[in-house]
Amino acid sequence: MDDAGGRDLHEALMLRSLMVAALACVVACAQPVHAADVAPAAGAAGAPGAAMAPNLTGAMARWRPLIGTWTCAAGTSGGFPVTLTILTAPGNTLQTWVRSPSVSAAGYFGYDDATKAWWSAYTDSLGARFFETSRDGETFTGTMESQQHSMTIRATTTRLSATKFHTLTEERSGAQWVKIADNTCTKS
Amino acid sequence: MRRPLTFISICLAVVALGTVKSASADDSMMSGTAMPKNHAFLLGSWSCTVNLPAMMGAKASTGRSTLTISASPNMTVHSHVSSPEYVSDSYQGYDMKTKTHWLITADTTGEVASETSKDGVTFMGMSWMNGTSTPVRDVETKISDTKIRDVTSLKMGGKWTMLADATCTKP
Repeated sequence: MDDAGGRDLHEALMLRSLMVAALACVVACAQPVHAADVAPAAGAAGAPGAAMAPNLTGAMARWRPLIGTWTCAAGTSGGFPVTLTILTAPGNTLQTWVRSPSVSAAGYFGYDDATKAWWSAYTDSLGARFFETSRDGETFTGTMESQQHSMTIRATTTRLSATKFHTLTEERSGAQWVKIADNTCTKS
Repeated sequence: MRRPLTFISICLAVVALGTVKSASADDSMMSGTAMPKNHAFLLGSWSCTVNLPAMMGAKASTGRSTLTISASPNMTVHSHVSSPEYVSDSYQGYDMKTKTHWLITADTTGEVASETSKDGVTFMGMSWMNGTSTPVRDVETKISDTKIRDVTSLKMGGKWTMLADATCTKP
């Protein structure tokens, strides 16, 4: 990835921030949920995991409004559109797919009862991966790594409406957090 | 969140199978990332049987999963493992500059793994989960165009311990 690695990692950050954005908006986006609102029958077209697992329960139930397909624009990367699809997955988790013309990514999100923390695991076609955790479901912190880079990142999500949210992603630079991406996603 | 070792085994073994390198791979491209030339046989759906040895008080067992391999952007391959209890995704590529194969994985247990290989056969790296890391190794073999095999080991207590022996066949 070398010189292009910076761009690759940057693009990867855009995509992963979208995933974290979707997952981090649990507090901002969660609303009272009724069974009829969350029928998980519609899998992602073409996605290997199109057959969804049983619906979320316990602490994860608050994430049900996220299930579905979102269209997102990454503000600091020229606004390229990507499709974000969120499905239920085994183990009472969420499975997230991000697709753009140049990158694909997949991730998982769950809740650890032992540590009482949300976790997010991510991987993509640029060779980037991360593991992040959050105590409140709004702000996630962790380390993102590619074959040549490693950085500490933080993502904070704000709900704009029932079908739209915004996420700011920052990189730790010394004692400062420096903005590296912002995204807005709208539910289809 | 901590899962049984059997899940780890199925995960690592089946996911790694998506990285089996063609014997006639062409690594001669000028730059960037590229997949082996003759990896087309990998694409599609595979039925996998994962044999798990007796370990840590658990009896030997056999697991089954579906492995779906597809081409993905940046000249990489995407592998998706699905079973009723477990799902994972991985991407694999080849760095032309360092002549290194890379493989990364995330799954429903919250594990993230990263491995590299110089020969496309033996992959070694680390697996991270709950803030702890464990060395992992996969040895992958192409038996035929319709059968591939992977043996996964973890380094525990300074010794490599075989976790799983997975074989996938293409209908």
